[in-house]
Amino acid sequence: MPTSPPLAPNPLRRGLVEDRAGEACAVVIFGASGDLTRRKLMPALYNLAWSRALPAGIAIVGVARGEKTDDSFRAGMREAVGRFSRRKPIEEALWADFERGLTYVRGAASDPATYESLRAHLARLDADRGTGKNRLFYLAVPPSEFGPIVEGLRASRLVGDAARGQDPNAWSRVVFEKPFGHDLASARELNDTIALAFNESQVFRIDHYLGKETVQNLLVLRFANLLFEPVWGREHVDHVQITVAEDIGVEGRGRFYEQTGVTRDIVENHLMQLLCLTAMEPPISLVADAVRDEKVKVLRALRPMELAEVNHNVVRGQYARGTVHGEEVPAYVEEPDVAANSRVETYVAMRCFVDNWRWSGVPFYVRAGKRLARRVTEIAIVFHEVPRTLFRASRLSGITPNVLSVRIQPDEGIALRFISKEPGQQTVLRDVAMDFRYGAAFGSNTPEAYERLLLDAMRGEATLFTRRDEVEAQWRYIDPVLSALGSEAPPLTYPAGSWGPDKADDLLTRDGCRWRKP
Amino acid sequence: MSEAPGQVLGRIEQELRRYLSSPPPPGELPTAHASTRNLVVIGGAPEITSRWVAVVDEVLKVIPARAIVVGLEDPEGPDSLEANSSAVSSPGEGGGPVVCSERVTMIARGAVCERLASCVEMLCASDVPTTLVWIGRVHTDDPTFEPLARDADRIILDAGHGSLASLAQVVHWAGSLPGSDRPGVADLAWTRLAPWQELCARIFDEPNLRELATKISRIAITQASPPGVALGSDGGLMLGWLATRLGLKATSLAGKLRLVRPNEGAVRLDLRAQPAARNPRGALCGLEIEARTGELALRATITCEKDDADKALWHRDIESGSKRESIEQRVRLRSSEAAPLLERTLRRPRYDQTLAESATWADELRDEEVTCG
Repeated sequence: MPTSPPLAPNPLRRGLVEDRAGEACAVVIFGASGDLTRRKLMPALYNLAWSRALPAGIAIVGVARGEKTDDSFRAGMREAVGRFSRRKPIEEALWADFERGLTYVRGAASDPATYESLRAHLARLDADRGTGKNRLFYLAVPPSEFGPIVEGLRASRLVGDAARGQDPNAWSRVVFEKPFGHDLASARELNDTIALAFNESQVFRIDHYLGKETVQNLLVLRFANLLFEPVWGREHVDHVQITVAEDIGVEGRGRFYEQTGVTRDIVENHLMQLLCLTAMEPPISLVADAVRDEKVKVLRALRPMELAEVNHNVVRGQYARGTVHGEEVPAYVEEPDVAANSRVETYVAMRCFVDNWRWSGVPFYVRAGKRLARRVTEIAIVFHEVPRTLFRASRLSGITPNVLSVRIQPDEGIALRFISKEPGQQTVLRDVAMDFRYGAAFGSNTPEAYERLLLDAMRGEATLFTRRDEVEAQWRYIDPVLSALGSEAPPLTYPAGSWGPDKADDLLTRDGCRWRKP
Repeated sequence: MSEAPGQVLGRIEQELRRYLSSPPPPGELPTAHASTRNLVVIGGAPEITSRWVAVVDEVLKVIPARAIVVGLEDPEGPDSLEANSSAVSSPGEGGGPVVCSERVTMIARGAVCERLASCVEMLCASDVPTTLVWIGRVHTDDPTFEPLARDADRIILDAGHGSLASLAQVVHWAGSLPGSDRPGVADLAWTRLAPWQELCARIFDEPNLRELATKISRIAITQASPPGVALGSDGGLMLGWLATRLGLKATSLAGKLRLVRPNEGAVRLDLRAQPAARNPRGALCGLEIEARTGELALRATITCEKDDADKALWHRDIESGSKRESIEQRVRLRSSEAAPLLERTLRRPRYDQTLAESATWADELRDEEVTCG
């Protein structure tokens, strides 16, 4: 089969420092009336326009069931951007230009007529807006609609060779929001459905944590500084703690939470990704597959938990009434759309092991929960204690191990805790912290994760998205935990505003450690 | 009686120490905050210096640094050094801790101007990179500039207020230093042009248009100035950038500058002047590119709006046989305000080979007749 010659690069891009704009395309958002579109996607697209990162040939098409005109859709999105954008107020001239590219197609995911309307609409946009037959389909919908939409796109020939027409360079990509399946079997099934319509290179599974600056900086911290890598392993690291704590409850999403729980909502994706980035070996390059290969190796090295071990290594909890930020809040079972006898976990703590050369014997304690004392996500590398101290025993109580903590949110930054001498005639030791904060060092207006991820999807850069085998490996590890939890007693309760059930402390205390209070 | 320079510096050094020595609130862990850089700004005349103090204070809100802003006055007169220091604080993000920086302002006179590097070194925070911002023209053998530049990790000029020749000279000087000692060179005019360059590059982003980038037949540059004025630094750098990316050679025909493509085709160059009250003199206010290959013809313009120099209209027409496709986009250039411009320059990579190549190419036009009609 003859192959076309490689495409010549644009010579004016050579050495250009200014951020590159996305490629001309139509961004089709399924679920355009939803919260994600209003709170995250549309503000992110507006901010990309603000920073000149959107190409001239851009069109944004909202697809949803509601009866709307282009004008009413634009008005709704304007209100949402005004409310949720990190840049306020809206710049009128910029919005006027931006909204010209916003249009709306009404239709249900399961209705073939939706896709016929969409196909005609996109063809008009190619002519009117210069979108060049390029399509970015964004599925901001519940997982139950993933399959019907993929099938609808395939059946109506909105993707594949027919969609490209005569243009071999035209592309179609699809972006999926989490949760991607609810167990290994459903994730596989979904991946199989997607594979009927898309190649893996066209599929962008979002884990928005990967779009956060600090998460990306984790690779820079590890692999652009010689200082850390030699001590990043069992010889120097005592244990690792990863915390994803939220102070909010289910916030009106009781029905969704009843079907997921924190293990599926946070642990299977965000937390596993943070663990992978912490534990992975240096990739051979930053090419998407090189990074993802290394993450998959970590997931495969996670020591599987037999049913009997789950009870020993996993603690799950559910928040009871309590006080958060000085206000009384209800118990999980008192939230709307939550069963009074619900056994769904809102907190989980796990003791994991990465069985490879680097991390052999080093526990990774991970926890995630809702209605905890404060909102914080951090990775803490806790180093071994010094083998012998030169300082008098009476002063030893001040010595604690060095800790390198990477704060993902809020106050993104990195802190190193070490021991210093208190000024004075006596040798009194004390913890001090060397504290680097993103906001302080680089200014506060850093891009939102969705801006980076949307732009990457428009450019076809997949490094910050999860690959099929990665998602399946995450489920493979979590599935036995979920099965065991399903057959266990109800979760332990913990007061809202605390750091979780007391029993979670036992996971660490029996190893001689304790949870940080980040 | 005025203080001796050593006394002045000693006093300022103590003041700087005091800013950093406040104890933590009761019960909180003492922290050592990371400084990101020293920012040394040499403003020349005192009025320029005072203007830059305001710019620096704006920048310090988003890039904490130790800033040292220096005015040079009457280098032939009696020696003296005046200095004062201030803490510049801004509220932390989302109610986070206050971000504190320090700014020292100095006026050097007489021989102190020549010895300025030793004064600055005494006040710089240690172990963080130093950026030297030099406003105005500069010669690399200037006894004030050279030692400061050698101590800096990066030098920022402004060809718009200095000259292209200064920029090219500093680029050449920095390039002659051994790699480990070589400071990066950046330029505010170059940063101002970055949005223009990106908009220009996107003309040819679509795969079917890339070949046209090598078939450009006409370039028109419009600068804000009365007719008959020489092409300014912005226009010169833009032309240098286009030429070095596209491999255009400068030649002349009947004494007039002409550009030739690597495949020998000629590129017509039109230099235009547009008196515009809202644009600073010499600023770029329009760019037009035409290209053709076979049946495919392209014409693209980037034009600043007359009533707002910060807004530009990007427009592209493509003709292929009887088919015609037009597309346009309004964008904000966000390059007219000094503080964001300096901030963006500080965030760019330390070394920029494209700037070096473009400045060198543009400087070689010095003897050509390049006036805007």
